Amino acid sequence: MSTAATSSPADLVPAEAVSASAAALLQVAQVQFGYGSRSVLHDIDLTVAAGQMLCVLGKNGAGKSTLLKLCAGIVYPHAGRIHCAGRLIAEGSTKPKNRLSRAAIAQHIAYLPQDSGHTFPFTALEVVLMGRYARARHSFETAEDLQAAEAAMAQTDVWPLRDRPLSELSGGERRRVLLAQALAQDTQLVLLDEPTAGLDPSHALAIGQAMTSVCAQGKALIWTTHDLNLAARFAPQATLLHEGTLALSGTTLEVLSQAGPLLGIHLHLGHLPSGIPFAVPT
Amino acid sequence: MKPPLSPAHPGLRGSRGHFLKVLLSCVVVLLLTLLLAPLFGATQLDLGAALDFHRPLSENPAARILLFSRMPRVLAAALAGAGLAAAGVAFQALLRNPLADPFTLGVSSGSSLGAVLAIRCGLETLTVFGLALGELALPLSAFTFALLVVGLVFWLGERGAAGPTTLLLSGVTLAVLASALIMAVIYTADFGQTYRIVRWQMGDLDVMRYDLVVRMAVPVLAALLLLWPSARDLNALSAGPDAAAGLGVDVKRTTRRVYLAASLSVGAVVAVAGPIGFVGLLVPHTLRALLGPDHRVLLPASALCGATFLVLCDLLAQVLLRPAVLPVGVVTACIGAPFFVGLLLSRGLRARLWS
Repeated sequence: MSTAATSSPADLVPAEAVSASAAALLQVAQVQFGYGSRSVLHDIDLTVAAGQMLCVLGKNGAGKSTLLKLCAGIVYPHAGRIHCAGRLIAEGSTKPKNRLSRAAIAQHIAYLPQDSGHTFPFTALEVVLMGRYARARHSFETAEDLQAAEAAMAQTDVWPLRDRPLSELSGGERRRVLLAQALAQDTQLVLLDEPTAGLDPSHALAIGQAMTSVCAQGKALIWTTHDLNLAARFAPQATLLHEGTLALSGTTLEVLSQAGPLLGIHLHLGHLPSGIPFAVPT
Repeated sequence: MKPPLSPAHPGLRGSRGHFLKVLLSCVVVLLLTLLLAPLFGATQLDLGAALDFHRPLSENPAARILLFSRMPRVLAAALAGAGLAAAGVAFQALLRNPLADPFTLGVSSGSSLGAVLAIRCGLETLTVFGLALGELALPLSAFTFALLVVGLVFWLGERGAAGPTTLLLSGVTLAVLASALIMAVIYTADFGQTYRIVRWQMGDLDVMRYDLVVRMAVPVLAALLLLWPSARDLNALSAGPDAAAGLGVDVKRTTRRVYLAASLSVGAVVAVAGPIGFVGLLVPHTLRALLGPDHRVLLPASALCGATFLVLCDLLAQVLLRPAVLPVGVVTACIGAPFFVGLLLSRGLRARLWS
């Protein structure tokens, strides 16, 4: 299962078989979703393996955020199934009682929405420790939780910021703190909605490198972006949402080579002398 | 080189050690207040005479004042303060809005409307299933209306954009409506009823008895017990419902539970003590600035300090214009309003309170 998205009939695969194939961490099969009578997503099939990084592209309103929320079990599909690590996250017609509890899902999947500022002035360390809530059996964090938080913050290079309120940090620092929170959650799958939106190039690069190091640990990571250059540079695999369905899937360069018409632009693809790929609208 | 990590990280305000230290200090201050407050009041009390155990209680007026007038009054003030402050924290966390409190949400106004209607319609004389409602009519009516308003605010929030602003605006709308209806009720009430209504609306701990204290204690303590397990989830909710869900919080269940507990608390307090304003804003804001926003510390500390705060306010209400006794709601408003204006004006404090 090395391709980002397959059209394999995963709905025919029983849950046991899914868990047996350790490579397929996330399986989305024939998922449909809409708000009211308006269909947002349909015929979504997606497989993501452990250690894989997948970038979701698409125009504004294409349903990228909705797709991540579906994968995270925050909204439920109208039809189709979603498995993560062999556990059923959502099944179209399932009543809420039969679904995995939120805390159970959060032990498998970390999800960061696009806009996640805090209302109250929590410090960076307090925010990262929130990533441990789903695992902690006690009301208060243990030394073990603190160690996990420190390791995660060291990985995204925000440990020195630990005592500063999140609201006082720059946009890039805040995103790295939140990425550390997702890491501290210690899940196999990390979902990031536009982790680089609104960041200056150096901070966006730092996030990209942090994401690469997350995947190097064997975690699967799905992120959405409008920045085609970042996608080309950091994500080996990409998929493109167009008119409610995954129109293109494959390696990011393959996807980008056909993405122009679907994004309403002409894309010029190339490689810098250093080998770094780029995608420029022309 | 990574700096070494001590298990009790000093910057961590949500640790067990910090929690115990803060709570212990709050408890000590509250206990001291509860012990000392009954010694002061509208009249001078001869403590020596009151503690003279050789005289039978029935022949010891000082002891009777201490035991049957001052003590229940102090306890009622403590419970009301705890209930209102905890409800304030809960509403602020749920709505992600530091300006939310029992009053801005319309819960107090709704509850007042219930109480006023009970007085106007003479519900005390009503019998339900052969049981005379009697003195329970007013609290029951107040509580029912508190729940109704919370239900309505909640429903509006879920139907609408579900944003904090929607909920706050619907709360304000309902408060205005309730005030208008209260005026309409007062307009049609007779002189005696009008006096009772106006007096009750001022927020009053004047005629306090142990049965009223118990009537308030049961729902308020139940609400605190219901709120406590959700404290950590309220931290996660500070990042919004989606982020909280991603962290493993069952947002819908937590929201309902916290709403129910907070309105139970407000309903019980308003029913017995009348609308007492600003406690739910003043106490949580001050403590958030001092202790940080972690609800596992903030919630119990607010309850304890809210209790202390209202006992002290009630003390002021009794001694300021001695021998006249002010309604405690007047005192909290006189302290709370300038505090809040100052809060809104001071940019530095504002930045620390909410981002």
